[in-house]
Amino acid sequence: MNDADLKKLTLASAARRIRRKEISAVELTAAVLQRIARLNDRTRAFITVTADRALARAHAADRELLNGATAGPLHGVPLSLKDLYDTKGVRTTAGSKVFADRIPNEDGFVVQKIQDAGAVVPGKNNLHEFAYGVTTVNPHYGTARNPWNPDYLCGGSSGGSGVAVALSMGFGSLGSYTGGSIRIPASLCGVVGLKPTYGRCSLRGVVPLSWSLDHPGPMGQTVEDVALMLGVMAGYDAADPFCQDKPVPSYLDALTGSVKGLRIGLPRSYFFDGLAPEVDAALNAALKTYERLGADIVDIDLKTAGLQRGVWSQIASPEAYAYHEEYLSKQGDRYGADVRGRLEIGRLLLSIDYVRAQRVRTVMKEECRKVFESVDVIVTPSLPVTPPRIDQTTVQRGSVTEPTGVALTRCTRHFNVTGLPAISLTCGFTRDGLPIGMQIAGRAFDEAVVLRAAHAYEQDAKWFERRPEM
Amino acid sequence: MNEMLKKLSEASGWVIPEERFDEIAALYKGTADDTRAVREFDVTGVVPARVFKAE
Repeated sequence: MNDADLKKLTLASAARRIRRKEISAVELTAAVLQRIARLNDRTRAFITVTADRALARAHAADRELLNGATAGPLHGVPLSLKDLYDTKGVRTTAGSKVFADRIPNEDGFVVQKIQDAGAVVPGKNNLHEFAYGVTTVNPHYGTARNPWNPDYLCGGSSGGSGVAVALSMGFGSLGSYTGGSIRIPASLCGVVGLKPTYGRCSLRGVVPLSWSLDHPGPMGQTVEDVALMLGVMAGYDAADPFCQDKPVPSYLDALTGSVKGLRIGLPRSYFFDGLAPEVDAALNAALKTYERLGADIVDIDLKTAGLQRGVWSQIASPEAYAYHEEYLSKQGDRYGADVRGRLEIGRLLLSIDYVRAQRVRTVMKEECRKVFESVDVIVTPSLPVTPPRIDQTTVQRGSVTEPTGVALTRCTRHFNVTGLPAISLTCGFTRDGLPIGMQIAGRAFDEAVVLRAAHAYEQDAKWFERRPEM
Repeated sequence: MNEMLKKLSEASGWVIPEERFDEIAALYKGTADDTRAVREFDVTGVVPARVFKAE
């Protein structure tokens, strides 16, 4: 299979063609591994490539189909993992030298689920060290590069996952979020990333950053791809105290193509403040598309939005420090400078501030619950700025100059703090050919409506058909 | 701010190395700036989201 044929396939179409025996899992996996071998030095999308295991699994998948086995929804499809998902017998570094030799004894819960569904894992993706940052400028395993222009950020912390999906080095990837770590790279890489509701997917076997803010989630080329992956990943795990026992609907059935009568809430203040003109134009065009498709646009106000950064910091910092305390005391000099400093601050915060942040979090959650009585989804930009260059430490957001990380997390963190499902998908490109993302958030455990809204726009706008040249 | 940070550091059982004091002080100030609005927000009568559930 050549590159052009490979790049035409999505996860869903690859899975369908394998089931129909039009292509084999081995053929597909070999093509993906060749692309990884050719592009990984330039892009740093993978920390570990598991070529032999992947090919062995692909051979087994083909044999199973020939023997008449029932194919799982991901049967034979190459799908990578952010390198903080535990994988039995394969090192899981979390992007850090501290875990350079860490080899788990068992697979994480969702890793087991995707393998049970037939997925072939070609390798483990690069990330911002310990997921504590949004650039994937990784001092240990290299800087992951934007697939549309290598001088630009690919985002993070699931940066390698975004790059791998955009460049068909696999048809999807499992990422994870704490403050925007899937939606940010999804936006910057021009792919789709979904943060499910907190508690929808098990966190067992995922190296934590902040227990009460972490979420596993899928990244893919299309909304159908992430719907397919979420259907496999979602489900109760009694061994994960944060996971909730909720029915898992068919997310593919939710992709009706219709948004007629859908009520879209638009929080113009805060989320739309100081938008880059190209982001503003792309969002406005997307909203016009929704109106043409029959959705109703309603102005809403999320008064607590401006508190997200402080609440997030006061919760994430001490929780992250608590996990890393022992490692920092014994191996502090093995951490990258940026992550080490961020973690150490967690030791200096006051317990009353943590509790206060959890109280404000309750207020933010309640405000969202009330807003969702009058709207079905909330639409915002994924990022207020166009993709920054790798060497850019600050960006201009309207009249404000702020650190790049502050700008990149401005619109995403609210939905981590409140635990609500949110997706990012492409809604345009800059004049320089870099992607612009739109975020759609929904009610707790109502990923189906978020996916329906995203899918209807995607199939009308068809930005997903534009692929990076690399 | 620096004196307060030194006291906090001592109370936490971690003495910030002299050569890293400026770096940690800058990070601490950034966090303090970020969280000021949270400290000033009225949470009278609100219970914390201790064991967090999204609904």
